[in-house]
Amino acid sequence: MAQIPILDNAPVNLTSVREQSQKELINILKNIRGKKCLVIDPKLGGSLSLIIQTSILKELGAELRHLSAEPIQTDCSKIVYLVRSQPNLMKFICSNVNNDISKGLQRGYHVYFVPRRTVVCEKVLEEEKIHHLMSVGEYPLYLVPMDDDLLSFELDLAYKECLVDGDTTSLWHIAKGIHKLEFSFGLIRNVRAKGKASVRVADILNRMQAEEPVSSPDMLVPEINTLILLDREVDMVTPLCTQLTYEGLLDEFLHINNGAVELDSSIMGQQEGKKMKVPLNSSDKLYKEIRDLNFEVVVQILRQKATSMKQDYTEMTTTTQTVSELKDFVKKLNSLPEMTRHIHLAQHLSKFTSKPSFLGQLDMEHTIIESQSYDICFEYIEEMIQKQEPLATVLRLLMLFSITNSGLPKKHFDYLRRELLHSYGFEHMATLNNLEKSGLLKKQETKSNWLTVKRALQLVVEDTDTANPNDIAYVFSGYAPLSIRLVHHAIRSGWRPVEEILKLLPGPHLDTKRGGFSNSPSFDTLSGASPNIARATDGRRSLVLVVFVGGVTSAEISALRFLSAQEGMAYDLIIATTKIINGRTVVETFMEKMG
Amino acid sequence: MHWACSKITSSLNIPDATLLELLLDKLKMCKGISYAVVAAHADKNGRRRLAAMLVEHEPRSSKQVPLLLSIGEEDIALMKATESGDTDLVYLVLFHIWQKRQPLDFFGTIQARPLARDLFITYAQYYKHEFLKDFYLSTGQLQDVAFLLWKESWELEKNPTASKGSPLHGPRIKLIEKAKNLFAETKEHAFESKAAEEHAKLLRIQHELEVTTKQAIFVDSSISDTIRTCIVLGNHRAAVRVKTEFKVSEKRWYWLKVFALATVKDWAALEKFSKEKKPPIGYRPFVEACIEADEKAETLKYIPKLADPRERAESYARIGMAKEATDAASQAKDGELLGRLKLTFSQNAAASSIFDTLRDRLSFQGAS
Repeated sequence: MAQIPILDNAPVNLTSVREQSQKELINILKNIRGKKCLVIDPKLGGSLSLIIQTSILKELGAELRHLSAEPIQTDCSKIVYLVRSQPNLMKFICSNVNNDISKGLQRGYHVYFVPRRTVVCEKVLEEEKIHHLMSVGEYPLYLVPMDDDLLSFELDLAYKECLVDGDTTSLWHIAKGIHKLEFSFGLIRNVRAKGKASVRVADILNRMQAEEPVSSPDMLVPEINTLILLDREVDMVTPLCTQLTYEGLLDEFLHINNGAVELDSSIMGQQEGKKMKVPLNSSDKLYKEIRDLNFEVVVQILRQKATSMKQDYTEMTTTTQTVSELKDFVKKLNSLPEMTRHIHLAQHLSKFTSKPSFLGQLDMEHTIIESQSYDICFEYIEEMIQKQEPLATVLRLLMLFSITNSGLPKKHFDYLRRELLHSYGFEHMATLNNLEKSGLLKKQETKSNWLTVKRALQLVVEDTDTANPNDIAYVFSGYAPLSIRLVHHAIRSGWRPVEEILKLLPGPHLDTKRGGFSNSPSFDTLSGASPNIARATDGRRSLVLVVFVGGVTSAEISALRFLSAQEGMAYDLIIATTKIINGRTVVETFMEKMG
Repeated sequence: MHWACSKITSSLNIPDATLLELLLDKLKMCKGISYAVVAAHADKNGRRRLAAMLVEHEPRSSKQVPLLLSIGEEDIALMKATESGDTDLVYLVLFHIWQKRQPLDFFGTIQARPLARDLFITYAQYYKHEFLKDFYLSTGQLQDVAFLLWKESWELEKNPTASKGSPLHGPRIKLIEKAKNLFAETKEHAFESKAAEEHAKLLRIQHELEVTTKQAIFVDSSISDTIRTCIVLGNHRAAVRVKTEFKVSEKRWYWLKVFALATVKDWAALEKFSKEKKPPIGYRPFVEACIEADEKAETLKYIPKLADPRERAESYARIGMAKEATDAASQAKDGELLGRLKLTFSQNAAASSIFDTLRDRLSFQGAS
């Protein structure tokens, strides 16, 4: 099964978006004649594995290498760097080039920045005195289709950069990515945003429209009707909780990277000792069916399917079958590899989920979210620190605790931080500083309004039927993601009905309609702002693009798909995110070891 | 466009405002006109003010900002770049101003503009460390200098020519103490100041320990790890010394000592420790440590001492003693716990077999 997802079922032509990216990269390579060594920064390489097959690159005469400080081993005299425009990647290029120079190697250097060349990167190359050796270009990759309803901007540090470093480059990138989509699919009329960064993105998008307008011929209805932008900052509780959907758990325990998990082949029933990549996208029919379901249910489903398969086989071998019955059975057999794949994966996951420590963790997360037993939570976390449990796990719970309480009372704040430094080392002071700057672990200054928000939006749902859910809370077995409740409102009826609650959550919000050629859209809240998104004239459902600024978890994506599939939903959804995240990756972006 | 440029050249006597109106009148009827180019022309003809007014009308920030720079309107350029949200433009202006102005002047300019300031810090952190320090000092952000120094002290540690126990630890500790003093000066970073102070103290103690034990295993471990290592090596006095120096709480001390003794399987010492006085957090640490070390006999010494019958029940369950577990759960009169335990015991047998069964059901003869 391929890692590059089939996008045929996408609500808009995402295949063409991807093909455009393929063409642009192919052209870059074609423009450099002969054999060349293509040096890609590893993270970018990961993103590219969803765009184009490496075999195509090789056919164009490229030898592939990963960017590193090690000298490039190759006979090629042309080196083509394909790197994200991050200044801290320049040092690798410098090290390579200087190494070549010291060895007297004559090479031609090209550097293609993704998504565009920047002053700051070129400044670094200038300071290192190698800029004049480079031929500079750009590869404008802003968005990567991850699946037929999912796009990623591949900006894994966006959240930290904005909150801790004050670097809002990612916001411009997001706006540019959306603007490019508008050139393909038409101007998006309705824009709703919540959060400081989201409102900024909407603003930049309007400026881009003013500077480089997308023209919308009056006959054609834009394919995307509404854009919803939501800051991760508005709901930091959700990503810190352990996801309980099949895909969520796969991500939590096995780490889904670029649409695939990498594991030891023995887990998949093959010979031990090799690493293998298992692609996970909707081209796998079984995966598409079970990825968004609660894990408990998935086990039952797999059991049912296996039993039914066995029964069919028994019938086959014990009774006479007609040719068409045989054909049918053979067709069913085609799903065998998928079934085997997921049975192995599910079994592996259940090793983790059956551990008492896992259930204990879920229990504590639930207690923290209920937010009625401060002391119990405090002591639990204090003990974890004193026992030197893995730092990332501890920080995850501690952040959850701090956020639901709007910070910790000063005494506890200082006490727990000191315990952390004592248990894990003073090198983690930088991490604590980052968390404080971003508001994720801070001193309590105002009273928490988490309980109010929780009640008003009914975030804790008792008696969730995970087998036949009627509420998105099934993705966390009893907690409905705050972010998705908000998005649901935004889609259905705009921000008006939840304005009082929005005021309790960080950041401004806006709800606007954009004109075709107008340069100054009004920013007033429109009364009953388009509560009913009109169906497109050809009877298709309206399309809403939901953009998560700062990241989204796969459980939230599952929740959105659940909503979209409900009776009476008038719209299809496409989800875009800076990156797909989970609690562990969130903590890791803020962790910084001094030295 | 040609018309506009020649109009400028030939209208030396017409005041800026009037000429501007004339030009705008004509130009606004042309689509896609580059005001930037016309403005550049005006500037070249010495009509800077006119150029500035024309540039205002250039919609594309990527054209507007470089032009503003070229006509010396750096502050407006910075403002426009920031408004556009295009950080590349902000960097452009930033580097331009950096080259043109004196440091203090430059610092003052960017301090007033948060985005420019933050981008400057992001860049300077990696490439212009010392200059960044000057910036922080001049704008009174001592805590940021302190953090920089603290981070630098780690770099000293990475120096490969330094052998443990060499004078190189002197400069490192001095840097940390400098950081501590800077934090203290700010009056709002007492926590960080204390932390730096403890860090320096810890390094000194670890340095001494390495000399006395002749083992290079202490420096750069945490306080908790240092204590554990001391106990594991049998040096209880040193462990107590570290405990006292850093005012380690009894609670944490018990966790550390119990697990350290379990690591070296010193069950006798563990038992002695459990009897010294009533453990401040009860006997749970003892039970847990023994269970993790797979020492059933030792575990059984401590389970009965657990005060809470529910804890006793859970512990018996963990070592597979079903009868004792259900007895304790009954004692606790905890029906829910009882039910859960019964389920666990019957499930444990069944749990792992579910998937084996599934796999069996799928392995047909002849099909792969």
